[in-house]
Amino acid sequence: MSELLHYIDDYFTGTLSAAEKQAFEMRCTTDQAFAQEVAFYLSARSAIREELHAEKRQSFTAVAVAPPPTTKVRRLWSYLAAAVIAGMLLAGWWIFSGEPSVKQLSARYIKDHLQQLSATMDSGQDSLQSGIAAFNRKDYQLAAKIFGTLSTQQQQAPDAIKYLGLVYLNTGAYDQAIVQFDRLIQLPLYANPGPFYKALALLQRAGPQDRQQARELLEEVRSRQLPGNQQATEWLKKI
Amino acid sequence: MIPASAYSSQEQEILAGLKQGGPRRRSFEEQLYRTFHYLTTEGVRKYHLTEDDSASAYSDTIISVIDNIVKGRFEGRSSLKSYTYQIFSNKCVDLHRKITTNKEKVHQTHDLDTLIGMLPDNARSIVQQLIDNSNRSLLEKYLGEIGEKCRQLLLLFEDGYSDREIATMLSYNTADVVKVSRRRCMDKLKEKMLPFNQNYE
Repeated sequence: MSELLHYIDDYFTGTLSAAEKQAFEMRCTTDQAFAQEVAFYLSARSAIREELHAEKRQSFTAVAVAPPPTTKVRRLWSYLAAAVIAGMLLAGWWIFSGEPSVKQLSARYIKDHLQQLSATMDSGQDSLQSGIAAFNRKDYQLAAKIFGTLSTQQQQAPDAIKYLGLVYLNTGAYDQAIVQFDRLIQLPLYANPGPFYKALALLQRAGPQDRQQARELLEEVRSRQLPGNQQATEWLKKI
Repeated sequence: MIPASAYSSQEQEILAGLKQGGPRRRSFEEQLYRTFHYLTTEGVRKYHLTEDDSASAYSDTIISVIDNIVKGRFEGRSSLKSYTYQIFSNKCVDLHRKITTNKEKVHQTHDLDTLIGMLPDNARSIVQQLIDNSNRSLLEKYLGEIGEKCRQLLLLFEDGYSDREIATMLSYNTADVVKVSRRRCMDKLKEKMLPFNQNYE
């Protein structure tokens, strides 16, 4: 079986000669068992691709998004007025509040980006989606229960562990959030958001060594180009 | 093909980063995602999608754009912005149509099409019939049971990374070891599917 699979893989990765390709294509039409093997190979590649896309969708949710530019046409004076007001507000904020700390920035990030989870387009009604729905309506107790159960099942563990960590992060249970993000970091994921999320939890917990540990994690996120690397780069200038 | 000077510097940077490959490719994927994210408002305004649906359509758009650039299918006949917008519009139309009429995928090319398109017509129709009998959900289930390293290896390959790049990313000694390991992972998947397939043969 293995050699047959190699042969099929060679065809679809373009490493066969013209004559070998022709023989391969002929065999698909004359040998039913062989055609079945080709069908399996293509189905498997397609399933892997679906899995890949699901992971990418998830990793995109960790990406910070700038506010969309407005397309409405406004008169010049309204821009000027807005600019003046914004300038005054900015100056006031700068004078009276000072520059926001990394802790404030990370809290704002959690508020803006980690309080709503994306449901997939063809999500159906599986347990993970039920957990996401509970999370999004801030029923954190139910969400924690669902993600906790799923986090022990191999197939859904990476997402469930990540979401369970986010439940704890949003409810201020930073110790438990860090435990979950440590579990997530151990998984060999395509684009692991674990280090960034753990840094967020550490910055919020703000214990004696937490700031230093968060800095090291953010440096790792920046150097390995992991999810959250843009924020990491920005925050490292202030930490 | 439009001249390179017609791209904005940001587009040029993204295109070069995606084509360059390696572990840094992911950061350019994120950059691409952020660059045109404002299109999601178009999905809501013009195609009357919910914000979540528009965001999903946009994620799928970016995945398609990345795939086409990495696999050399983006020919540079338009700017990256126009190209992304066209794909996003198609996906919004698909989604709007799905929601309003329960019909799916007018524009979306099925993932199988690229690979199966390599076969000539007669071979393709035979294999296509057999694919229709395959059990997709079982494959997805077993993909989660072949071990995380195997799964990552297959995902990276499917994402267009070469065996050499995967060797660097997953700390394998050589590209050849990656190739052999990848095929063993496919074997594992096949072995798990064997009892099911025998029922159909």
